[in-house]
Amino acid sequence: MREVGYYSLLISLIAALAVILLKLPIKILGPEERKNKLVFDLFFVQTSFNLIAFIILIYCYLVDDFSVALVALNSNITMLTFYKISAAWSSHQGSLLLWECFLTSFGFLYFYCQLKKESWRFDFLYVQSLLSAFFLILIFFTSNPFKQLYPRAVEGQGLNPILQDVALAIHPPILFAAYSGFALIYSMSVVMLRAGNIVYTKIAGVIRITFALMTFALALGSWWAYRELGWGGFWFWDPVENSALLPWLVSLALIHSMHLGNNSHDLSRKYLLGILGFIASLFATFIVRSGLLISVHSFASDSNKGVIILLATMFYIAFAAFYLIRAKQIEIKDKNKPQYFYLKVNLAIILVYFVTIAFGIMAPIFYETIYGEKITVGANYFNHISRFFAYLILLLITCANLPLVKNLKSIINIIIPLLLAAAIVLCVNEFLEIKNSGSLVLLILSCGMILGQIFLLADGKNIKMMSKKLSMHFAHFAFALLVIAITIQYEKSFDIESRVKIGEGRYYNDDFYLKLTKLDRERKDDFMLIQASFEVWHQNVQIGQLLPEIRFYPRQNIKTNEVSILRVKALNDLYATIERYDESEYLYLRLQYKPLMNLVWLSLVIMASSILWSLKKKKNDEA
Amino acid sequence: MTSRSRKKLILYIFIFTIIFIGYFLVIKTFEENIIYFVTPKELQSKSLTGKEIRIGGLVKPGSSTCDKDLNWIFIITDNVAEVKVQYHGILPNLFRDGQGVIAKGEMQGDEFIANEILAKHDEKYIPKSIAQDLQKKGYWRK
Repeated sequence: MREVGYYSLLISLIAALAVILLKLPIKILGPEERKNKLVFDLFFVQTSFNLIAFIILIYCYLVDDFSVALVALNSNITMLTFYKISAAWSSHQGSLLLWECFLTSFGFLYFYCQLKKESWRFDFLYVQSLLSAFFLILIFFTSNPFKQLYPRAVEGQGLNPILQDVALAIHPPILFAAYSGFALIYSMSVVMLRAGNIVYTKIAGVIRITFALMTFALALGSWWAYRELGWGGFWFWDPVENSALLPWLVSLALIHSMHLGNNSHDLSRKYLLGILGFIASLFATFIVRSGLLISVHSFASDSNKGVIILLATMFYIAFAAFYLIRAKQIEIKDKNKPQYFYLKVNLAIILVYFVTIAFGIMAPIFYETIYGEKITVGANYFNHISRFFAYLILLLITCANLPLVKNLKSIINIIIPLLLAAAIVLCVNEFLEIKNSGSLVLLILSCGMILGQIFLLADGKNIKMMSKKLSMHFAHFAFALLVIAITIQYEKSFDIESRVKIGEGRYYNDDFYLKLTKLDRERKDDFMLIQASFEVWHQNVQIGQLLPEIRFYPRQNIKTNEVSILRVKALNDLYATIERYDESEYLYLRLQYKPLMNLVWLSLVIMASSILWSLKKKKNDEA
Repeated sequence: MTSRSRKKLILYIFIFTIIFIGYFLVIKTFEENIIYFVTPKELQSKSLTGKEIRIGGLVKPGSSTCDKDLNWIFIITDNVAEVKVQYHGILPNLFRDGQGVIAKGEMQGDEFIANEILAKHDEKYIPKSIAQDLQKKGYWRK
């Protein structure tokens, strides 16, 4: 089966290169129509053979074909079927193949469903093939998933246990689906630049889906880190996370710029963003794979692949720039709607934030090449900057949510909710006791934004206007919730390390009382575990049990700690990990309290789903 | 000046102010939060006392001791130089002899007072620069 997979990739590569050749201005290849038909057929060949290759890879995992090196490295016989399948894309090679697969299938589906009469529609397939050819070359020459292992292994090494998790099983497909969305937007932007076409609405749906997928992917990734790594946080400002934030920011900018007008300036803004999105996703992959940065959770790194991805990134920038320069200047006068002002300011803020984050990611590389010093940029850099940008964005949303600011009365409409929010937050703070003024400002601004929305709703005149933009209001509401949840958590969480003995109990932060009742040892199929049972009291009421574990996987020689999370009052988490157990009578427990943790996940889900919902609404409007 | 171009001017001034403030903010916070990453060998040639830094290396086998109150003392080595590290708290599970480790904190005299210890959850992980150093000297098993 290995060979079949390998050769289907080869066929796919040949098809992709053939499309590129066909588009060269050579006369002998026949008339344009015949060429176009051939381009379509060849793209279909790529799509189907990529799918075949990917299905074969999964099949190799399922039947434990250890003559394939990748399978022997990432799987073993005892693993659950579900994780055998997910192991297929948890490695570098597999995830590239998955990306390539999505790239061609999405391109094909989009072409089939959306592009029917446009004269330039075959150019789209051409640009997509250009992207697909790059991935195929990368897969073929640096990370062949079907590499043979000879002699064949009897048993595989198994997937890294911390990757064996539901969230991480579905995180890569969603992330790469989003990245393929960016690829599609890139292709369309280049093609439309070339055609001088103004139909940007054609990819509005793709942009919405890409944004939602990107949000889900980031949420899943951080949910995994929270539950599996046992560090107690959901965002560590690690290079891997930061670089995945960049494409998300572009998709955020895209989803807002969609509503800009169609005059030539605004159009070129849209095209530029469309190009930037794919470049950012390539850059993110490059950073993750290159090993240039010291990331505390890099799983696969190989500088060769990094360099190829970097070169390709430059090629695609140049390719897009070529069309950008030659783009037909169309002077289209469009009515300048007043809300464009907010959109443009929003765009500027997001882009500046994008640059500062990118600067923070790249700074260690600059420092190493220029000064020869190895540095890391502390999380506080990102925290301070993000806080500042959150102020701006929240204020902007508060203004933009309201009907236009025309006179003094509408300014009052902004000031009243903010003042009321300040009063409420300061009253509640008597009980919360937050001392950091920056955090208080964040709380006031986000509450003010929500109050502004409520006032708008209360004023009956605006209901029609609001219902038109319901998904936008929901997404903004979710953003404010997210800011509130993160701020409260930043301020009010606690983290206590302690040494405990069986039968003993103690108070944590005066509220929580934990008693270690027993220690269990168990032997499972491929690991041994020690499980501690804690009984938990909150304000003198027993609320449940915490069962943190230490696991030892002898095959991979890995020790992991399994987090135990107890939900307190629906939204808050009590988070326990055994930090160390050395066979003595003592156990080292790390107990963390994470207020409003579940609100973080909830708000992200609301944000992504409200965008997906707007997709459905748009369809209804058209019908 | 027409009202349209005046509006445009205001917009541009607004955007540039944001970028300007942002620029200063970025540079300021950046300089405050920069953390140097050094190996024990590099530490010898530099005076970084009192500055927050990270030290990366391997835990010297048999060097870690702990008292009742979770005060740890161990030695980080890159097989060239060594540095003694003090840390209060629980060390991560993956902290082991011979394991790659990154300590954040500051030098006080000859000792490194750490406030954060990271041990890699992935066995293959070791800071890249140290891996290269060790590879050159032949200490590094693949």
